[in-house]
Amino acid sequence: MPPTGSKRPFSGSGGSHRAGPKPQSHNPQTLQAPVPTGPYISMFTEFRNELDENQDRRERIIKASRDITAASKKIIFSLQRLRPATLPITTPLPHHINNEILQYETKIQDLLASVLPDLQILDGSRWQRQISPGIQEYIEAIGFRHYLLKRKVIEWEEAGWYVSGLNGDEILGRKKSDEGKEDVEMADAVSAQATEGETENKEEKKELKGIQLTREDYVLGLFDMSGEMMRFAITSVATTPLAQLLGATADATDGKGISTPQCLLQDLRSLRSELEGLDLGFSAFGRDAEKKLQVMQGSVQKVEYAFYGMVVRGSERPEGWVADFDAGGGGGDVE
Amino acid sequence: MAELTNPSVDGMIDPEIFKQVQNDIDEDIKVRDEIRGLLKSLDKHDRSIQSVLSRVHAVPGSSLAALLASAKPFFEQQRETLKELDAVASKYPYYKYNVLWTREIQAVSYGIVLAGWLGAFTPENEERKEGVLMTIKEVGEKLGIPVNVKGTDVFHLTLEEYLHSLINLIEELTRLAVNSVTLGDYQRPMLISRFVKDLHAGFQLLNLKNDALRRRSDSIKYNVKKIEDVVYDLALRKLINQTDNQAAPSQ
Repeated sequence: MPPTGSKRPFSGSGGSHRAGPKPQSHNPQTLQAPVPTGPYISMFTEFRNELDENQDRRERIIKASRDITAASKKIIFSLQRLRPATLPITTPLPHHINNEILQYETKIQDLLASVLPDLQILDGSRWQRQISPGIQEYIEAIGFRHYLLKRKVIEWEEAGWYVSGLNGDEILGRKKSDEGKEDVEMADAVSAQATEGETENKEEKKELKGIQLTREDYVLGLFDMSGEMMRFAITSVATTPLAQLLGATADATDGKGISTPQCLLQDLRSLRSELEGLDLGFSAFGRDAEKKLQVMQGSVQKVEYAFYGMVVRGSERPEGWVADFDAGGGGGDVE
Repeated sequence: MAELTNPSVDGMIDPEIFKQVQNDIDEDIKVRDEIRGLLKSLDKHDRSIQSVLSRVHAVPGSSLAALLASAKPFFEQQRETLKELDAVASKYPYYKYNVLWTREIQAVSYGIVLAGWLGAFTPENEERKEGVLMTIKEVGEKLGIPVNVKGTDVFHLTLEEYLHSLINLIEELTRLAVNSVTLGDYQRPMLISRFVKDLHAGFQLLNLKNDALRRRSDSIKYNVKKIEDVVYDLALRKLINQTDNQAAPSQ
């Protein structure tokens, strides 16, 4: 303990003041350097305020990004529970799954709206790296949903509309457009919940600029989506009767009625070849994408192995026999 | 390749999507290359400036004015290049490419704060005066770029870059303190000591997060100590008049 600032009670009253010896050690800085003085103190005080403000902003964004990631993952889990016989899914989603998704998506939209003020003007690009993980995960989730419902890759513009943080009302509540029928189905259950959280932000939202979806986040989100397609495919392979797995389903008339796993295999392959066809460059994005490209190639292969396993071993099984089996690449969620 | 495999009737992918993605990637690469080209010339100017300024360690104060004057053309070239960089960079969100040039901009800012400290920008009619801290605003004026911008998304010198350049300045002044003694200038170390201590006090006010700036600002105290040692040596041998300056450690 440094021998400085000995403002102890005088020896006589030591006993009675025992209770309060703490305050000194509270602030060790004042012990060493009383009040900072010097020509640059005021300048640096301004700097400090500014740096602190930025730091706080950064932390808020990181936190929101994490929460968005978590909620997006949950949306994906819910989607993974679907078991359609063929794609795209044309019937309404089961009510409970819809509700789950809605709940998480409400959270995401609220979070996006809440960080909007921190992402204006310069800050949009400044904190891009901080918000980006959450955005990518959300793209993955809505991209996957879009795929299941439409059997299309979500377009950049539409994905951007979802992540902008400005369209929460429309996404969660009553919809005017054809922006995904899942939302229309949700609308009724939702509107009460959604409007509550959203209206209060409405006024400031008017002046705020939405989050800009970068093409990079969009592509990286799509890469991740391929992993979800793989999981979905592996599970579907395991749960689809062999006859439907490789052949056309009973109601197939125009060749469109192929089974879900077949759709996924086909689509994964075309997604793969499109993504492989990109010249990614050598930026930070290029490196990220390169890594994800390899993962995606692995995903496609896993599905291909699953089919292979089904063809080789499946033919030994009786007609209509469905059970758990080794899904080749080891998609961990074989039922 | 994509055309060959383009799947059947219900292809899931609109090829347009990835064409756009590719366009964006290509554009991005182009911008980066353009910026890198400009950074190369910035680097060159910076080396010229540093090579002039580094002679300060071997040149007595009396001929410093001429030395500093010889750096002027390089500063002007630097300004020109910065203008070009500004023109390119301001077209895009600032922080998208900031990481490309932040090192160079730190160096550029450092050149100004060092020259400024040495008195290169003393008004013509006054005698050259050392020990001046160029504020971030002044640095921006010398460079011809905005500083610490908040309301608009344009090219500028950031606060962090300026702070980095101040740490560079402290490191350089530490060396200068030693070499000034060798040159027989016993007063300059006193000036440096006071200046660096003041800056150090400023840096201690900052709540830095765990990044490069934090690590570097943590090292300022070693520079303070080195300079104190120089002052101590001088004081011990009565080579300086201590009444001017209480910076000399007493024990």
